[in-house]
Parts: sequence; structure tokens; C-alpha cells
Amino acid sequence: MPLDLILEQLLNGVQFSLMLFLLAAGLTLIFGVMDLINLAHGSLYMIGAYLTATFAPHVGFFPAVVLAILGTMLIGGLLEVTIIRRLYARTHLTQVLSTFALMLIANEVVRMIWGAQPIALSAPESLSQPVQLPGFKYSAYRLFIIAAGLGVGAGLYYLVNKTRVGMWLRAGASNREMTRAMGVKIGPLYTLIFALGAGLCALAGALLGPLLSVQVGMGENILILAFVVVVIGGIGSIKGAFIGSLLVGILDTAGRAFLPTWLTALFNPQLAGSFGPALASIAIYVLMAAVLFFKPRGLFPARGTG
Amino acid sequence: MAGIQSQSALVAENLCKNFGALAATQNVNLRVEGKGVHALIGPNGAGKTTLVNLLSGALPPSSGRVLLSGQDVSRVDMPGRVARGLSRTYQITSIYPEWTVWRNLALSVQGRSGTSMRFWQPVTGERALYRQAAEIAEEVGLTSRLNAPASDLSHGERKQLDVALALASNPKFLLMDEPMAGLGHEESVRMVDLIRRIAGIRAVLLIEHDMDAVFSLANEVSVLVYGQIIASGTPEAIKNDPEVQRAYLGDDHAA
Amino acid sequence: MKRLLPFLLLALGLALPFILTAMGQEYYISFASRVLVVALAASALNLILGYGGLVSFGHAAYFGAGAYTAALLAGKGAGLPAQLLVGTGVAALLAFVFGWAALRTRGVYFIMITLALAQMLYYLAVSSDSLGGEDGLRISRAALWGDLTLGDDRAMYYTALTALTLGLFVIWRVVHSRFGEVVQAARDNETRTAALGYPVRRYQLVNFVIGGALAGLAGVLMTQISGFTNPSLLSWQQSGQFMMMVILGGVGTFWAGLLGTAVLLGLEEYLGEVTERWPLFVGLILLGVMLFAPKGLGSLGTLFGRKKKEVVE
Ligand SMILES: Nc1ncnc2c1ncn2[C@@H]1O[C@H](COP(=O)(O)OP(=O)(O)OP(=O)(O)O)[C@@H](O)[C@H]1O
Ligand SMILES: [Mg+2]
Repeated sequence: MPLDLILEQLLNGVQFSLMLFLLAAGLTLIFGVMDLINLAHGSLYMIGAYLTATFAPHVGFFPAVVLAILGTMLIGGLLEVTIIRRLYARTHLTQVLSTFALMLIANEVVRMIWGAQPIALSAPESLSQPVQLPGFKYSAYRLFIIAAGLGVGAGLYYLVNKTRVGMWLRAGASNREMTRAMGVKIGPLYTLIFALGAGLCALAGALLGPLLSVQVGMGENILILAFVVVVIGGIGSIKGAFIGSLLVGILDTAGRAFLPTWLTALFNPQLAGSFGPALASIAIYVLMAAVLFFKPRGLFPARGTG
Repeated sequence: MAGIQSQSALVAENLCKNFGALAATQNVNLRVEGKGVHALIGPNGAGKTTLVNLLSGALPPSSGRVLLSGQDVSRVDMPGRVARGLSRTYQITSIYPEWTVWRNLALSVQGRSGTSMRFWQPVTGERALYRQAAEIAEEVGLTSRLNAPASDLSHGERKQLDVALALASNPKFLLMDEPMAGLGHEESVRMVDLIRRIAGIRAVLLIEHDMDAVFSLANEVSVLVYGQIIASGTPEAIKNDPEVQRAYLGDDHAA
Repeated sequence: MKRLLPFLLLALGLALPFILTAMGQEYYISFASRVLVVALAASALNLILGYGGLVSFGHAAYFGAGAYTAALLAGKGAGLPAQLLVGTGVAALLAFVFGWAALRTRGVYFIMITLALAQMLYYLAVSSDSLGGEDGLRISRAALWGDLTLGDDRAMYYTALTALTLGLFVIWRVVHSRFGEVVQAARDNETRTAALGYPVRRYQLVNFVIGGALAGLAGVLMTQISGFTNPSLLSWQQSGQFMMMVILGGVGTFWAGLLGTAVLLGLEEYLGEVTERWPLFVGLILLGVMLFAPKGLGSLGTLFGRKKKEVVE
């Protein structure tokens, strides 16, 4: 296989990983700090994409992304204040089902407003030409996503590790009582975290919108992937979410791109043709099962044992 | 070390447990055997419950071994140790609050009478289970409460139920983690009585803060401070041990 | 009354096709079959989730495994007995493997790993040509005797009723057996149950397998009702729906699966006729139940009474 093709797929993998990270980072914080399983996280991603697609024709792509992030944060904040906050003290089962219901509602509301058909969102004009990298051409838009993902990742790293809010977050993820004891106002902090998670979702939705399609239910499969990432990385760990995203994103993309070819080389083409795609699509779940087998609490458990 | 005498003994050998930087158990050597009460005393946070967790298999040790009747059971899980005759009670009572006292006890009896991998016969049809459960209730003084949901029991009655649950497996060794904590005077007297009867036919490791109870029950006393056993001996010897007095008994005992 | 309930329900079940025919609503016989079969799968989940306290978010895997096995066998010309037997067996085997892996973990991790394992199966079905990919597999209905096949609504209905009755009977016996006692004990207080000498995980795994097998049985019948299988039977939304049913019906109470399924499918059917936006209303109702009556519809009566602790952790 030519090297440039491998490189290109690798870049695609990194690009997808970083978007996955945006979702997983919010999810793992909400999971770790508030002990909430939030299936509606994927809905916020969907809303972010729809808002971007709605604003973009009027104000241009980049301002639309900003508006979508703000709008989704607002929606997330409202959601937290009205409903989500009632769920923190509930069992995980109740949380799963309540947010499952929220997801159904969100899908239907989006369908009511925007219709059942996928809507168009195209990459900004300025990034439509491929760029020449050493050896091959690569989509400028995807490069931009990689840069944006890395930028936000660095920002999050700074936020979590170098600021006071970040200190609260880390304390909250490893020991909830401690956060209370530190006198942090839990209510607003939780709303803030939830809104932050919503904003990250919106950004991922907005940036991935032009690559995938903006449609009802678009957040559901990527949500499951984000959960896989969170579990692999260890609940509550941003670092874990980052490493997990890279593992999952690259394995998934590379698996789809290369596994069928490799299998063809190893076995007969017919067998490879029918099992290649199947194997590729389950690779990440095998990875997750393997990680949990050896480290039942994920790679970087934020909470101490016991 | 595992000589003939250790045939029927619960032995801790150089047992250590670390929680991160905290050494909750340090090089503990302990031997509980025969009949009677071996008391384990020590101030709050000394590591008494941790030691019970290590002995019963609730926690894996960081290093060291646990021997049960001469066999190394360090890697045997809790149910496995119960099957070998080791049972425990809980400092914070651990029962089935939604169930009646009778059902609580029947579950426990069920554990020692044949396999529980029986899927078809209704358990309520097994008269023998409920009869034996009632006998145990009788033994600990809960007969009048058999049909009450465990959540309706008083604190003292819960403690009794907790002990009864452990007793139902008919253990050779019983680890009792503060069975008298929070009991009123009369309840304490009854519990001391119960422990004396239990210890008449099996070995009991008793953790207790009430020194009068300890010295009236124990044949042997070990003192645990900061995860280490600082003294071990007859109640008389321990009472008069200057190091123990300094480290632990002091004013507490004088009071 | 309580003792009579099963028999009353069974009598109603037996009479239902006649009642519906008399009312000129024969269309609903097939709908009723679906309710019975899904209720079997939901009751199986209730065994795992309600009685066992294990929040399995991948129940669709066993349901779908039964369905796909049956469809593959049907394609090879196997009859109904073989489909039922092998379908149930495959689901049980799968539940054993998945359950074994998942039971190494606890809490949230358990929820997530059961979900992920089921997703694995879903993608396997979607991307494998031999399983029909996105389209799934079509089957021709199994023959019963003579010319009668399960394509006949009444034959299908009574087959489903038989399966549900037997399934519920099995669950009842299991729940009230020594084994069931240990499983419920492990749900209420896992540590103490281990301290009483029960190897908890082993009991939980066996219980998981029984639940998985019954879900597989339901899956086999589901293909017979619809005449095809497709990946949506394996989807996590399907797993979520099973959980919804169990919770609606009152998790850990015997009739939870049947009640929850009847209510949820009935609601969908009814709202589906009234409005195109039915998922919105289903979502709103579910959310309301979860927020205000998390112990299911049966607990609505005590809504304003004493606030009880939720049982499942
Ligand atoms: N699972 C755990 N993780 C971390 N630290 C622990 C854990 N269990 C106990 N500890 C610590 O180990 C030390 C000993 O605790 P332990 O409960 O064994 O004491 P104890 O002697 O039983 O005290 P008490 O008389 O209050 O019951 C304490 O400092 C406690 O905080
Ligand atoms: Mg203690």
C-alpha cells in the first residue's frame, strides 16, 4: 500500500479522533464530576450541527459556528437547570432512561423544526481547496479541523490543569465530598460544566457537519463511540478521554481503510470481502473489551480504588 | 511454621495492607484458634476493620499470608473462606433491610445446607430451612421479630441479626467487628452473653471498644495501634503492660 | 385475588382473538402477538435487571441473536422446533460469553460494557453480507402442521401466548427458588451475600444466561411475526426500549415485563394513529414517569405518599 495513502488515512483518523475527543471530554467530565450518564449528549451534538447549518447561509460558516456553540451552551444550561439537575442523585438506571427519553424528545423537536430530510452544510469556501503536503494533497478543511481540535484540546488542558475552575473539576472527579468541603458552590459549577460539555458537542457537530450529514439521529452512533472512549480512558479523566479518542478514532478509521485490503492479501478475496468490513467495525469494541479485561476501571481511572 | 498445632487455627503471617501512602496494616502476625475469645483492641482508625477485611477475604493483602487450618487462603475469595469455616460480622450492620428477619436468616442457613443452584423448587416449601432459621433467631433472641421486615428492627436488633447471619454458616472461626457499638446497657449485657455462648464452641476474634466486655470475655488480647500489633497476651498481662497503657488504655481505661 | 391473577390473565389471553374478531378488530391480533413476544423479552430483562439488579444495556443482543439464528436456520429449511431450540441456545451461549466479560466490572462500567458488546453484534449484522447487511434477512413462516403456518395470525398468536406463559412460569419458578433468593440477595446487598458464602458472580452469570436465553426465544418468535430480521432488532435503541418497558412496568415486580410492554407498545400504537409526532409524546411521558414515578406505573399511587429509596443501584 502506498505510503501517502496510509498517511492520509492516518490523518483522517486523527481528525475524527479529535472530534470524538470533544464529545468524550464533556461526557467524561459530566460522568466523573456529576456521576451522570447522559445519553442526551449526542442530541446536543446534533443541535450544534443544525444550528450551524441554519446560521451559516446568513452569517457565514465561522460566525455560524460561534453562534451555534453559544446557542447550544444556552440550551444545555437550560436543560441542566430544569431537568438534568434532578437526576444527579438518582440511580444510573433512572439517568439512562431519563436521558434516553430526552433524546427521543430532541430528535422529534428537531424533526418538527427542520424536517425529516438531512439538511445541507458545506465547508467554508476559503478551505475548499486541498493543500499540498509533502508527497500528497490533503483537504484543507480536514486540516483545519485537526488544528481546531488540537487548539481546543490544549485549551481544555490549560483549563483543567492550570485554573481554579480546573482544580475544582479535578477534585470533583476524584472526590465529590472534597469539592463540597472546599466550599465550592456545586449548583452553578455543575451548570457550567454541563454547558461547557454542550459547547464542545456543538463545536464537534458544527465541524463534522460538512463531512458527515446533518440529520436527525446523527448524534447517536457517535455518542456510543464517545462512551467507549470514556470507558477506555477511565471515567472522569480528560487525559484518558484524549488517549482513548486517539485509540478509538485511529483504530476505527484505519480498520475500515486497511483491514479489508490486508485480509484480501492474507485470505481469499471473497472471505475478506464479507468479513473485512464487519471486523473493522467491531475492532474498537474488541479493544474496549480487552482494556476492561486488564484494567476494569479504564486506562486512567480518576477516582481512587474502593 | 505450619506445625501440628496450627491444624485448626486462623493465622495472619506478616500481613500488610497499604491504601496509597497509608499503611493500614503493618506486618501483623496473629493467631486465633481453638475455642474462646481473642480480643483485638485499638484506638479509632488503628486498622482493626481493615484486618478483618484481610482475614475474611474482603480485601486482598499488599503482602503477607492468611492461613486457615494450615492452608494458605490468601488468594481464596470470601465465599471460599466461608466454605472453609470462616465467617464475619460487620461494624456497620449489613443485612437485607427489605426482607423479613426470617427470610434473612433462611438465606443464610441455605448457604450451609446443600447447593443453592436449585432453580425449580420454591424455597418457601423448604421447611427445614425456616426451622433452622428460627432456631438461630432463638439463639440470638430475635424470635419475636421473625416476621418483621429487617428495616423495622431497632439498632440493637439489627446488630443481633448481623451476628445471626454470620452464625448461620456454622463457622469454626467468627470475626466480630464491634458487635456492641451503639448498644444500650441491657442490649450490651445480652450481647456479651451471646458472645460467650458462641465462643463456647468456636474461636472468636472480637473487636471491641468496651473494655469491661473485653476483659470479661477474652482469653487473649491483642493491641493494634497504627496498623501494628504492639502487644499480645492474657488480659492480665495486657492490662499491666506499660506500653499498652501509654499507647492506648491510659485515661480511657481509668474512666 | 393475587393467586387468581395469572389465571384470569391467561383466560383473557386465550379469549382475546375471539373478542377482537367479534369487535371486528382482527388487525390487532397480530399486534397482540407482538406485545406477547416483546413482553417475554422484557420479562427476561426484568429477571436480570429487576431481580438481579444488573443494569444490562445490551438486552437487544440476545433478542437479536435469537432472531438472526432463526432466520439463518429458516433459510436452510429448518422447522420451528429447531429454530426455537438453536435460537435459544445461541442466545444463551452469547449471554454466557458477554455476561462473563461484563461481570468483571460493576456499576457504570457494567452498563457500558453490556452496551458496547451489543453494539459489536449490531455492527457485525450491519456490515456482514451473510447476515443481509442493513436489509437483514427475510424468511418464510414456519409450518405448524398440515397447511397451517405461523403466517396465520391466530396460530402465531397462540404460539406467542404459549411461549410467554411458559417463559413467565419459568421466571416465576426461578425467582422463587433457592437460586432466585441468592440472586435477589446479591442485588440488595452484594457484599453481605458474598460474606454469607455465595460466589455472587457465578449466580449472577447463570441468571444472566437464563435471561439471555429467554430473550433469544422471544427473538425467534419475533422473526416469525414480522417475517424478517433486521439490525434494528440489535440496536441500542431496542435495548433502551426493553429497559423502558421494565421500568414502566415496575422493575423487580413479577408482571413488569408484560405491563410495561403492553403500555409502551399500546401507547406507541395509539399515538401513532393520532399523530405523526408520537415519539415526542412517548418521550415526554417516559421522562415524566422517570422523574416522578421511577418505580414504574404501579408506584404512581404512592407518588404523594412516603418517599422510598430506589432499590436498584
Ligand atoms: N478502602 C480504604 N481506602 C483507603 N483508606 C482506607 C480504606 N479503608 C480504611 N482506610 C483507612 O485505613 C485506616 C484504618 O481504618 P479501619 O477502618 O481499619 O480502622 P478501625 O480500627 O476499624 O477504626 P474504627 O475503630 O473507627 O472502626 C483509616 O485511616 C482509614 O481511613
Ligand atoms: Mg472499624
